[in-house]
Amino acid sequence: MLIRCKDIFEFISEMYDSELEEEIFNDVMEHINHCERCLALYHTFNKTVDLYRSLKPVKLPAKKKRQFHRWLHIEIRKISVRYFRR
Amino acid sequence: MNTSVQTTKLKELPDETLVDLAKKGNTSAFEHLIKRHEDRIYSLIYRILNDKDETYDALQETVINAFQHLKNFRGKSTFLTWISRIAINCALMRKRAQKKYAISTDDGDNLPKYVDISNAEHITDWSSDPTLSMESKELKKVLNDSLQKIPEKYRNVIILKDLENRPIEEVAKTLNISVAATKSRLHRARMYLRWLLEQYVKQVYGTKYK
Repeated sequence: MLIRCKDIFEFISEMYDSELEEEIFNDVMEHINHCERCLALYHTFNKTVDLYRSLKPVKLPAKKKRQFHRWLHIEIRKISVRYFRR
Repeated sequence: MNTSVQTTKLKELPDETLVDLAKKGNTSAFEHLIKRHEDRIYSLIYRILNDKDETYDALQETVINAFQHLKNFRGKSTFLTWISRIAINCALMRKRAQKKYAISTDDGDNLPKYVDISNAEHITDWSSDPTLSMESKELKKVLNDSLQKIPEKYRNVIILKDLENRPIEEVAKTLNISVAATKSRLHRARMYLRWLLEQYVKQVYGTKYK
Protein backbone atom coordinates (compact mmCIF):
# COMPACT_ATOMS: atom_id res chain seq x y z
CA MET A 1 0.00 0.00 0.00
CA LEU A 2 1.33 3.40 -1.00
CA ILE A 3 1.39 5.58 2.09
CA ARG A 4 1.32 9.36 1.81
CA CYS A 5 1.84 11.94 4.54
CA LYS A 6 -1.92 12.63 4.79
CA ASP A 7 -2.49 8.92 5.53
CA ILE A 8 -0.27 9.20 8.60
CA PHE A 9 -2.52 11.94 9.98
CA GLU A 10 -5.48 9.62 9.50
CA PHE A 11 -3.88 6.49 10.95
CA ILE A 12 -1.89 7.92 13.82
CA SER A 13 -4.48 7.42 16.56
CA GLU A 14 -5.19 3.84 15.48
CA MET A 15 -1.44 3.23 15.46
CA TYR A 16 -1.19 4.43 19.03
CA ASP A 17 -3.95 2.02 20.07
CA SER A 18 -2.33 -0.84 18.11
CA GLU A 19 -5.45 -1.19 16.01
CA LEU A 20 -3.89 -1.01 12.56
CA GLU A 21 -3.61 -4.20 10.55
CA GLU A 22 -0.05 -5.48 10.58
CA GLU A 23 0.48 -5.02 6.84
CA ILE A 24 -0.69 -1.40 6.88
CA PHE A 25 1.24 -0.74 10.09
CA ASN A 26 4.46 -1.94 8.45
CA ASP A 27 3.85 0.27 5.41
CA VAL A 28 3.10 3.24 7.64
CA MET A 29 6.28 2.70 9.68
CA GLU A 30 8.27 2.39 6.47
CA HIS A 31 6.98 5.83 5.44
CA ILE A 32 7.53 7.37 8.87
CA ASN A 33 11.10 6.19 9.05
CA HIS A 34 11.86 7.98 5.79
CA CYS A 35 9.84 11.16 6.39
CA GLU A 36 11.20 13.62 8.94
CA ARG A 37 7.90 15.50 9.18
CA CYS A 38 5.80 12.40 9.83
CA LEU A 39 8.39 11.07 12.27
CA ALA A 40 8.11 14.32 14.26
CA LEU A 41 4.33 14.07 14.24
CA TYR A 42 4.49 10.42 15.29
CA HIS A 43 6.82 11.17 18.21
CA THR A 44 4.99 14.27 19.43
CA PHE A 45 1.57 12.61 19.10
CA ASN A 46 2.69 9.57 21.09
CA LYS A 47 4.36 11.79 23.68
CA THR A 48 1.17 13.83 24.10
CA VAL A 49 -1.09 10.81 24.63
CA ASP A 50 1.49 9.16 26.92
CA LEU A 51 1.55 12.28 29.10
CA TYR A 52 -2.23 12.46 29.39
CA ARG A 53 -2.49 8.76 30.11
CA SER A 54 0.02 9.15 32.92
CA LEU A 55 -2.16 11.67 34.74
CA LYS A 56 -3.24 9.74 37.80
CA PRO A 57 -6.92 9.32 38.74
CA VAL A 58 -8.13 11.99 41.13
CA LYS A 59 -9.06 10.49 44.49
CA LEU A 60 -11.72 11.63 46.90
CA PRO A 61 -9.67 12.91 49.89
CA ALA A 62 -9.94 10.64 52.97
CA LYS A 63 -11.74 13.23 55.10
CA LYS A 64 -14.22 13.99 52.34
CA LYS A 65 -14.71 10.27 51.75
CA ARG A 66 -15.76 9.71 55.38
CA GLN A 67 -18.12 12.67 55.11
CA PHE A 68 -19.50 11.24 51.86
CA HIS A 69 -20.10 7.81 53.43
CA ARG A 70 -22.02 9.37 56.34
CA TRP A 71 -24.11 11.39 53.91
CA LEU A 72 -24.68 8.36 51.67
CA HIS A 73 -25.89 6.22 54.58
CA ILE A 74 -28.39 8.82 55.79
CA GLU A 75 -29.54 10.30 52.47
CA ILE A 76 -30.26 7.02 50.68
CA ARG A 77 -32.35 5.79 53.59
CA LYS A 78 -34.31 9.05 53.63
CA ILE A 79 -35.02 8.82 49.90
CA SER A 80 -35.80 5.14 50.20
CA VAL A 81 -38.45 5.73 52.87
CA ARG A 82 -40.19 8.29 50.65
CA TYR A 83 -39.77 6.15 47.52
CA PHE A 84 -40.92 2.76 48.79
CA ARG A 85 -43.86 4.14 50.77
CA ARG A 86 -45.48 5.62 47.66
CA MET B 1 -32.22 -13.38 47.22
CA ASN B 2 -34.08 -11.32 49.82
CA THR B 3 -33.15 -8.05 51.46
CA SER B 4 -31.84 -9.72 54.62
CA VAL B 5 -28.48 -10.50 53.05
CA GLN B 6 -25.78 -9.78 55.59
CA THR B 7 -23.81 -6.60 55.00
CA THR B 8 -20.58 -8.52 55.22
CA LYS B 9 -21.67 -10.68 52.31
CA LEU B 10 -22.69 -7.73 50.16
CA LYS B 11 -19.08 -6.90 49.48
CA GLU B 12 -18.64 -10.22 47.74
CA LEU B 13 -21.66 -9.91 45.47
CA PRO B 14 -21.36 -8.82 41.83
CA ASP B 15 -22.83 -5.49 40.70
CA GLU B 16 -25.78 -7.17 38.98
CA THR B 17 -26.95 -8.80 42.24
CA LEU B 18 -26.46 -5.62 44.24
CA VAL B 19 -28.54 -3.73 41.67
CA ASP B 20 -31.35 -6.30 41.98
CA LEU B 21 -31.27 -6.02 45.77
CA ALA B 22 -31.20 -2.22 45.66
CA LYS B 23 -34.21 -2.19 43.33
CA LYS B 24 -36.09 -4.16 46.00
CA GLY B 25 -35.29 -1.53 48.60
CA ASN B 26 -32.03 -2.81 50.07
CA THR B 27 -30.25 0.48 50.73
CA SER B 28 -27.13 -1.28 52.03
CA ALA B 29 -26.73 -2.97 48.63
CA PHE B 30 -26.90 0.43 46.94
CA GLU B 31 -24.37 1.86 49.40
CA HIS B 32 -21.98 -0.97 48.53
CA LEU B 33 -22.42 -0.35 44.83
CA ILE B 34 -21.58 3.31 45.24
CA LYS B 35 -18.61 2.66 47.54
CA ARG B 36 -17.27 0.17 44.99
CA HIS B 37 -17.27 2.76 42.21
CA GLU B 38 -17.04 6.10 44.06
CA ASP B 39 -13.37 6.76 43.25
CA ARG B 40 -13.87 6.24 39.52
CA ILE B 41 -17.02 8.37 39.47
CA TYR B 42 -15.34 11.12 41.49
CA SER B 43 -12.30 11.12 39.21
CA LEU B 44 -14.47 11.25 36.10
CA ILE B 45 -16.46 14.24 37.40
CA TYR B 46 -13.31 16.03 38.55
CA ARG B 47 -11.78 15.75 35.07
CA ILE B 48 -14.78 17.63 33.72
CA LEU B 49 -15.19 20.25 36.45
CA ASN B 50 -11.61 20.70 37.70
CA ASP B 51 -12.92 21.92 41.06
CA LYS B 52 -13.06 19.80 44.23
CA ASP B 53 -16.14 21.40 45.83
CA GLU B 54 -18.14 21.33 42.60
CA THR B 55 -17.07 17.73 42.07
CA TYR B 56 -18.25 16.68 45.52
CA ASP B 57 -21.64 18.33 44.96
CA ALA B 58 -21.96 16.69 41.53
CA LEU B 59 -21.06 13.32 43.06
CA GLN B 60 -23.90 13.63 45.57
CA GLU B 61 -26.27 14.69 42.80
CA THR B 62 -25.18 11.69 40.72
CA VAL B 63 -25.84 9.28 43.57
CA ILE B 64 -29.32 10.68 44.24
CA ASN B 65 -30.22 10.60 40.53
CA ALA B 66 -28.93 7.05 40.22
CA PHE B 67 -30.93 5.84 43.19
CA GLN B 68 -34.11 7.55 42.04
CA HIS B 69 -33.81 6.14 38.51
CA LEU B 70 -32.43 2.72 39.38
CA LYS B 71 -35.70 1.09 38.33
CA ASN B 72 -34.98 2.27 34.76
CA PHE B 73 -31.61 0.50 34.67
CA ARG B 74 -32.19 -2.61 32.56
CA GLY B 75 -28.68 -4.01 32.75
CA LYS B 76 -27.92 -3.51 29.04
CA SER B 77 -24.62 -1.96 30.10
CA THR B 78 -22.60 -2.32 33.27
CA PHE B 79 -23.66 -0.36 36.34
CA LEU B 80 -20.45 1.68 36.08
CA THR B 81 -21.23 2.64 32.48
CA TRP B 82 -24.78 3.60 33.43
CA ILE B 83 -23.85 5.71 36.44
CA SER B 84 -20.96 7.28 34.52
CA ARG B 85 -23.50 8.61 32.03
CA ILE B 86 -25.45 10.17 34.90
CA ALA B 87 -22.24 11.59 36.38
CA ILE B 88 -21.22 13.17 33.06
CA ASN B 89 -24.65 14.75 32.67
CA CYS B 90 -24.57 16.15 36.22
CA ALA B 91 -21.07 17.53 35.68
CA LEU B 92 -21.93 19.08 32.32
CA MET B 93 -25.08 20.74 33.70
CA ARG B 94 -22.92 22.38 36.35
CA LYS B 95 -20.25 23.33 33.88
CA ARG B 96 -22.73 24.89 31.47
CA ALA B 97 -24.15 26.92 34.33
CA GLN B 98 -20.76 28.49 34.88
CA LYS B 99 -20.33 31.42 32.53
CA LYS B 100 -16.59 31.28 32.90
CA TYR B 101 -16.54 27.99 31.00
CA ALA B 102 -18.84 29.13 28.21
CA ILE B 103 -15.97 29.26 25.76
CA SER B 104 -15.32 25.53 26.05
CA THR B 105 -18.86 24.31 25.43
CA ASP B 106 -19.08 24.93 21.69
CA ASP B 107 -19.72 22.06 19.32
CA GLY B 108 -16.13 21.74 18.24
CA ASP B 109 -16.44 23.15 14.74
CA ASN B 110 -13.29 25.15 15.37
CA LEU B 111 -11.21 22.02 15.82
CA PRO B 112 -10.29 21.17 12.20
CA LYS B 113 -7.73 23.95 11.86
CA TYR B 114 -5.82 22.45 14.78
CA VAL B 115 -6.36 18.88 13.75
CA ASP B 116 -5.60 19.17 10.07
CA ILE B 117 -1.92 19.90 9.95
CA SER B 118 -1.31 17.63 6.98
CA ASN B 119 -0.28 20.65 4.91
CA ALA B 120 2.15 22.00 7.48
CA GLU B 121 5.54 22.52 5.89
CA HIS B 122 7.49 21.70 8.99
CA ILE B 123 6.72 19.83 12.22
CA THR B 124 9.12 20.19 15.11
CA ASP B 125 9.96 17.17 17.21
CA TRP B 126 9.83 18.35 20.82
CA SER B 127 8.96 14.93 22.22
CA SER B 128 12.35 14.31 23.81
CA ASP B 129 12.55 17.59 25.65
CA PRO B 130 13.57 16.70 29.22
CA THR B 131 11.26 19.36 30.63
CA LEU B 132 8.24 17.31 29.50
CA SER B 133 8.43 15.20 32.61
CA MET B 134 5.47 14.25 34.76
CA GLU B 135 7.55 15.28 37.77
CA SER B 136 6.85 18.85 36.70
CA LYS B 137 3.89 20.41 38.50
CA GLU B 138 3.73 23.10 35.86
CA LEU B 139 3.35 20.51 33.13
CA LYS B 140 0.56 18.75 35.02
CA LYS B 141 -1.24 22.07 35.32
CA VAL B 142 -0.76 22.73 31.61
CA LEU B 143 -2.18 19.30 30.77
CA ASN B 144 -5.19 19.76 33.05
CA ASP B 145 -5.82 23.29 31.79
CA SER B 146 -5.61 22.06 28.20
CA LEU B 147 -8.36 19.56 28.90
CA GLN B 148 -10.64 22.43 29.87
CA LYS B 149 -10.04 24.05 26.49
CA ILE B 150 -11.38 21.18 24.40
CA PRO B 151 -15.03 21.33 23.30
CA GLU B 152 -17.01 19.01 25.54
CA LYS B 153 -17.96 16.36 22.98
CA TYR B 154 -14.25 15.72 22.40
CA ARG B 155 -13.23 16.18 26.02
CA ASN B 156 -15.63 13.52 27.31
CA VAL B 157 -14.14 10.93 24.98
CA ILE B 158 -10.54 11.64 25.93
CA ILE B 159 -11.36 11.73 29.64
CA LEU B 160 -13.05 8.33 29.52
CA LYS B 161 -10.63 6.63 27.13
CA ASP B 162 -7.19 8.05 27.90
CA LEU B 163 -7.50 9.34 31.46
CA GLU B 164 -9.98 6.91 32.99
CA ASN B 165 -8.71 4.06 30.84
CA ARG B 166 -12.13 2.72 29.82
CA PRO B 167 -12.42 0.39 26.78
CA ILE B 168 -13.56 2.13 23.58
CA GLU B 169 -16.84 0.17 23.47
CA GLU B 170 -17.67 1.30 27.02
CA VAL B 171 -16.85 4.91 26.13
CA ALA B 172 -19.24 4.68 23.17
CA LYS B 173 -22.00 3.23 25.35
CA THR B 174 -21.48 5.80 28.08
CA LEU B 175 -21.75 8.66 25.61
CA ASN B 176 -24.47 6.95 23.58
CA ILE B 177 -22.60 7.29 20.29
CA SER B 178 -21.20 4.74 17.84
CA VAL B 179 -17.75 3.22 18.23
CA ALA B 180 -16.74 4.82 14.92
CA ALA B 181 -17.81 8.27 16.16
CA THR B 182 -15.97 7.65 19.42
CA LYS B 183 -12.75 6.80 17.57
CA SER B 184 -13.12 9.83 15.34
CA ARG B 185 -13.60 12.19 18.29
CA LEU B 186 -10.72 10.56 20.15
CA HIS B 187 -8.41 11.11 17.18
CA ARG B 188 -9.37 14.76 16.85
CA ALA B 189 -9.11 15.39 20.59
CA ARG B 190 -5.64 13.85 20.73
CA MET B 191 -4.51 15.92 17.75
CA TYR B 192 -5.86 19.06 19.39
CA LEU B 193 -4.08 18.28 22.67
CA ARG B 194 -0.87 17.67 20.72
CA TRP B 195 -1.29 21.10 19.15
CA LEU B 196 -1.97 22.72 22.55
CA LEU B 197 1.08 21.07 24.07
CA GLU B 198 3.16 22.23 21.13
CA GLN B 199 2.02 25.81 21.75
CA TYR B 200 3.16 25.47 25.37
CA VAL B 201 6.55 24.06 24.40
CA LYS B 202 7.11 26.77 21.81
CA GLN B 203 6.00 29.48 24.21
CA VAL B 204 8.38 28.35 26.94
CA TYR B 205 11.25 27.25 24.73
CA GLY B 206 10.50 29.31 21.65
CA THR B 207 14.03 29.88 20.46
CA LYS B 208 14.83 26.19 20.68
CA TYR B 209 11.83 24.98 18.69
CA LYS B 210 11.21 27.69 16.10
